Amino acid sequence: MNKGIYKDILENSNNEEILEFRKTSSTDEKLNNAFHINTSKIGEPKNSTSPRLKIQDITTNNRLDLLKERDSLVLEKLMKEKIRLFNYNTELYQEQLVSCLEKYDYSSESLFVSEEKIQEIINKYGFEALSRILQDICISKYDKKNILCAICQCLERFDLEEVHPWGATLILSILTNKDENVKAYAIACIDNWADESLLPVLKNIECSSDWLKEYVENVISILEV
Amino acid sequence: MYYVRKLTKPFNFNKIQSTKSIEDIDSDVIKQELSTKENTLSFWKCENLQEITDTIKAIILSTSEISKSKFIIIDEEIIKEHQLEVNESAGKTGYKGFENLHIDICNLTYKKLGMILKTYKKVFEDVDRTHELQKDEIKDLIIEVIQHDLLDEDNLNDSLKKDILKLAEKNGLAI
Repeated sequence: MNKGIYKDILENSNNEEILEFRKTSSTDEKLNNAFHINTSKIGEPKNSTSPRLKIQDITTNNRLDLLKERDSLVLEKLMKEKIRLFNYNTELYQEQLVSCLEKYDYSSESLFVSEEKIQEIINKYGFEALSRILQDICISKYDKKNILCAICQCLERFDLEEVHPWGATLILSILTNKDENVKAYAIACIDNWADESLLPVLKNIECSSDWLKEYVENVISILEV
Repeated sequence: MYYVRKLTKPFNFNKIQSTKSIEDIDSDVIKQELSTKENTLSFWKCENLQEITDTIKAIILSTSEISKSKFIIIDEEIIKEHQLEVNESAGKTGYKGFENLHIDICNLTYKKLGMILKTYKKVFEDVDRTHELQKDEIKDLIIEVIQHDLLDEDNLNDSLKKDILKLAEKNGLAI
């Protein structure tokens, strides 16, 4: 036992009980600081139990701190693992959805597998994951007309509120595709949503084909009523 | 008598209408709008235009989704004029009791299909021979069918059934 620390207390204390103390490098500074605090309790020999309480407080507090630190490290690790699994699964679902969307041959029947896969994603991970997956597919497959058209067809099944705000943004990005058939599918999606907040989008679509201009004008005229 | 068919894509109306010659129509339009099965094309009949709502309900409940719809209405005389064969056959629809509104135009050939496409182009010039319903209007019609207990779930397309269940739940309707 390091008598140097306890010297003053032992000399002034009527309590013959010797406090066993295991000195460690982490607690050293804290203990030293505790015994050099100038309080009435520590100074009074009659209150010989107070140093003992202080040590217990410090070791308990320290133990709690260490536990908290350990818990937060475990929590951090769990969160990282959860995110890693989520990313892995969404990548997996993205691949699966792409293979479904590729099957779209502009017939209703060929869209069914994509719709099922989309519902599976929503059930498992929610709309947020779906938005991320569809946006990634949209960018990576921007040159695949049938995939973009299939995405538009799938999106129009939902109400705008369900896919707000990313749904409209996704359609907006598809509208910039130079293929006018792809634009027509995107406009059809807006047509189905029938939301006048999308009028500015419709009024600023660039079209070269007469049929597409007429189609956009029809949709605008209905929304403006 | 009139024969009614729903367009697969509303914008195909604009494509067909704006083309100068049907010979220049995209083949995808033909595939989408005139897709035959065993050389037949489905239509739904309507005795007079005042009763067209029932025909439209039968059509809506035979499709695969609730979406904005555009319909073409062809007079029986035009069908006879082109000597197209009509065969009455019960259709698959979720509109109970109206399956018999379905008919097939059958024994179709390349030539006859071309006649139908020409008919489409001509009919599209007449505003009274096309009918358009917004998605909300389609939903209202389906709700009417449910409220009158005329929904035949067993004859609904699976995909449409999901849409209808969602619609019914949203509107507090029991199916």
